[in-house]
Amino acid sequence: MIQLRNITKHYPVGFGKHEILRDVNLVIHQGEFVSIMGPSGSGKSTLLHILGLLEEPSDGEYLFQGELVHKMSDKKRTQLHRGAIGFVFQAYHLIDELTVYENIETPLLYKNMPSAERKSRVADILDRFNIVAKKDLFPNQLSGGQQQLVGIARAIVAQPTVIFADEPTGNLHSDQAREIMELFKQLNQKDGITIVQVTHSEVNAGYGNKVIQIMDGKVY
Amino acid sequence: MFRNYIKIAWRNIWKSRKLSVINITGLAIAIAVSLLLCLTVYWEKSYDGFHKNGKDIYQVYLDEYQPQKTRTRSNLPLPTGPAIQAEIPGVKAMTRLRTGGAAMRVNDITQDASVRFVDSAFLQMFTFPAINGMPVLGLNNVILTRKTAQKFFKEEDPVGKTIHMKDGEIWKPFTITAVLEDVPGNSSLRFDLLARTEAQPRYEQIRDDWNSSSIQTFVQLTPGTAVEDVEKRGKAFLEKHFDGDVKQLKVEGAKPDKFGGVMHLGCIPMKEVHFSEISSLGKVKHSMLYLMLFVAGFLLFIASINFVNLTMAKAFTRAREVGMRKVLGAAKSQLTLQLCGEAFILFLFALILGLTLAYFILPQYNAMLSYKLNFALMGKPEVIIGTLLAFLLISLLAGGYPALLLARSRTLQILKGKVSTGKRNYLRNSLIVVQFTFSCLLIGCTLVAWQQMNYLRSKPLGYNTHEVISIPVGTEVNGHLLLERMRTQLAQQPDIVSVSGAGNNFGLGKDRSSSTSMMIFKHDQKQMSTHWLGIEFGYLKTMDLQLIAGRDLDKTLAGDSNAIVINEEMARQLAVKDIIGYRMRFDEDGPQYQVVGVVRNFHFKSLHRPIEPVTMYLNPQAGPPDYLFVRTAPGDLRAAMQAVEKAWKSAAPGAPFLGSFVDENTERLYENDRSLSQIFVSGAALTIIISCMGLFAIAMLAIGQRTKEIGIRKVLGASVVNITALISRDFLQLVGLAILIASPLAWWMMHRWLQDFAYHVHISWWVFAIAGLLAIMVAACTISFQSVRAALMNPVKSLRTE
Repeated sequence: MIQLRNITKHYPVGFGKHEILRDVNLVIHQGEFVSIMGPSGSGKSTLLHILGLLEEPSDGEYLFQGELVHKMSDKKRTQLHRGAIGFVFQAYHLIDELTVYENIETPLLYKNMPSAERKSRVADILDRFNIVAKKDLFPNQLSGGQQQLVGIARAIVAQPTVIFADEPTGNLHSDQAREIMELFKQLNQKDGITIVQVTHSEVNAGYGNKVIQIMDGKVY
Repeated sequence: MFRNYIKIAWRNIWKSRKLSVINITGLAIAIAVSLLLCLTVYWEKSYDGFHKNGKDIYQVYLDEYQPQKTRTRSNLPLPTGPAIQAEIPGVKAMTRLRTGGAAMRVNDITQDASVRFVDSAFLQMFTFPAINGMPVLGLNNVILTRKTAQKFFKEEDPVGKTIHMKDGEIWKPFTITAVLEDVPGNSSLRFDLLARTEAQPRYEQIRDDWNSSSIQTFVQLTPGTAVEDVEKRGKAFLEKHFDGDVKQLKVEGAKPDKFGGVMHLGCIPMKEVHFSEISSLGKVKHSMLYLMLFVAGFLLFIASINFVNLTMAKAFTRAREVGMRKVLGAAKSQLTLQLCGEAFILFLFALILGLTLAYFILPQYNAMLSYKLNFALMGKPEVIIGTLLAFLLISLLAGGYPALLLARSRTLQILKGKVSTGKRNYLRNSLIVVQFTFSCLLIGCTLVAWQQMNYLRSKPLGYNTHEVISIPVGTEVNGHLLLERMRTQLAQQPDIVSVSGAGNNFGLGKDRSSSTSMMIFKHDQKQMSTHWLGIEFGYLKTMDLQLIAGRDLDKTLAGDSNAIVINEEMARQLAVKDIIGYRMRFDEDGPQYQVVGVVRNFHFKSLHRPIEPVTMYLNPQAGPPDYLFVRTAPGDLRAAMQAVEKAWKSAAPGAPFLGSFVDENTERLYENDRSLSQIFVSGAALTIIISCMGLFAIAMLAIGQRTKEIGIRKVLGASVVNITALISRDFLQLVGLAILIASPLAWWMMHRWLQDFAYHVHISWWVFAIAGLLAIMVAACTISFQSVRAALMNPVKSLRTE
């Protein structure tokens, strides 16, 4: 499903350049639960951003669902963001001005889904995550764990094939973290969603079935 | 989708209430004022647009290319009109127009009415529809407007009835043939009553007189006739009828124009008459309208700058939302649309508020600029469309630019909290500089204009202005007779010094009329001109004019009916050795005059013009004075005015008393300048208010972004003053830059403006120093509101908020 060939990423620094990723080769199959691990500054977030089409590699080839990413049009990428790819962030990045319900609804709006179907989809998700009672609250009225729950709900409401999670439990305490990780495992096993997460914690990595170690921009 | 946009827009506006209020208020003020200004321009531009034949109608005028300057006049001799129609092909119809006021009488009602003496083609050329009767104007007919008909006839049908018009001492009967719809407010031709040209006073004397110019002439061309052709044929026409003038001009060395003539017959399109400086019907200068449009656009621009700046500053906090939406699959166009929509909603609020505001300040606006605008103008389709278009354009520009910038910024950087506008804020800073440049500019202009107005008010004019009452004589009683009666009435009054009269007023009296009569004569082979002022005995004493040689006109000397008193400038231009006793003729077959006195120069016209030669002669019996002057003793001026009014009431029973002190009259001369400087003042005030609103909000946001820095600095020991200075410095630097840009610009603009006055103040550097200081102070106050608050904040709190 995801295939990286000799991916390199560097930023210009002064006259030289700062290399973040070097010759990364990687294959992720449909239905896998992958954890990317490594020390701070090793390039794991950059790798995730490249995988999620938020950033472009400086060199190398990236095939997403068999298609070359760097040949995709902007429109196609937006399409992928609307449907195939879901994101979960460490800082949740919910939209403060929208209620829980509206936050979850937003991706469906961009998919131009009819109102009735939208309502039932959002209702399903709220129900499944046990947050029906909170649907009219604003993000700042929720705890961190609850916010992340909404973040995940928003990521899966459009039924993506893959979720990219950037340290999803980084801001949470261990109980909440465990709940979130259980949820990911369930999504992976029950719904067959491919999950790629960046994490520091061995425990979290244990929920997945594959670990990619990254150090100084190289994958081991 | 749209509901979602509107919802989030509303929540955003509500969340940043303070900013939104500032934004909306600033915009609303600008919209209200611009709307009023644009309505004014629209109204002025609509003048004379209702004539169906309008595009074929022209007013005729004459140019004389004198060697030094071109003399232009729209007052033409009476026979010009018929001659043009007879001799120049392509002229389909013509009408002459003489403005007059006359006392009218029906049964026992006698009232003054404004009469236009016109030719029979007038109503075929111009569109003034009749509501009653047949609009045919025979020699002994008159036509009334609806209002006039009501005044004289109440409910009766006036058609076929007789109305009497006073001509000299006799009442002449006229038959009313029709009643017209009232003249629209936007018509240059205004009248209560139309009568035939032949019915005007002294018609028989001047009907074939090519030397006396007193009448406006309009022509209607056959459709398809080029104005150019008419003007070309004007050369031969003028050489035939004005051969004396043409020869004289050639002798003096006049330069011919493109048609080869030294005189030129010109045509002013009817739509331009209202703006013409040539036509005596011209009221408004185009430049004034452009100034209004400029101020309107400019205020909107200043307010839009606020909008752009605040949106950009807020983008900092909006960035995360925008980034997240992109990750969720929003296309650029969708994001732009959403952000534009928010701007649009804000603008809509501003528009509604602005309209309401405009509605409420309209009366004050009308009073300030002496207009009679009606809010009903807003109902005109073209006004609605114009307003909507302007509204859309501004929303699109001011809302679209920040929206586009935000929507285009890179997704990932936004999620990390960075916006591409970065810390440098070039755009924001330059916009602030622009705003304050204009503020300083307008403050500087205001100060100079204020100085000049003060100068005009306080400059000694060379005659007594504050103790002399001038009274327009009006049409009811003969001026000579009235003067004698007033003299007798006031002779015993201790607080009256003297009473006299003259053919012209000083400044503009309550009758708001002023005239210029010039005498053109030959002296030493040169053509010269002098103002020609008929006076009564005692005029010099009454006006307190200073004799520098010779004597005043003397009642006891019989020869003084041909004596003249001239001013210094006249004496200088005549350059005669022994001016007192010098005898001269102004007209080859006219009487010989003798100079008996020279008075010190005095400003008998406005200070816009340099002092020109003036010759004062004794009014003959046939030319009664049009204005009486009463000099009162210093002391109780109000009592003196009452005494004069009482005397008037018994001298001219029934005639309205329009007396006023001369200094009131001279001030009226500068009404235009005063309304211009009022526009300056209001513009300056509004600009600085709106700019400061923007600065206030920007300072608030900037401080919000620097809360952490301020907290850290305080923990490290910075004082309140340090912090305030730190924040204020950035902004004050911008204001300083604005002052540097504005000062030379203001100097140049006001220098140009002052050139309009023959007598004016000199611009000194401290004016701009004060203007700059003022701008800095206002800006500093505005910022300090925010910065002091930030500096006083408990650092623990500000650090925790991060």
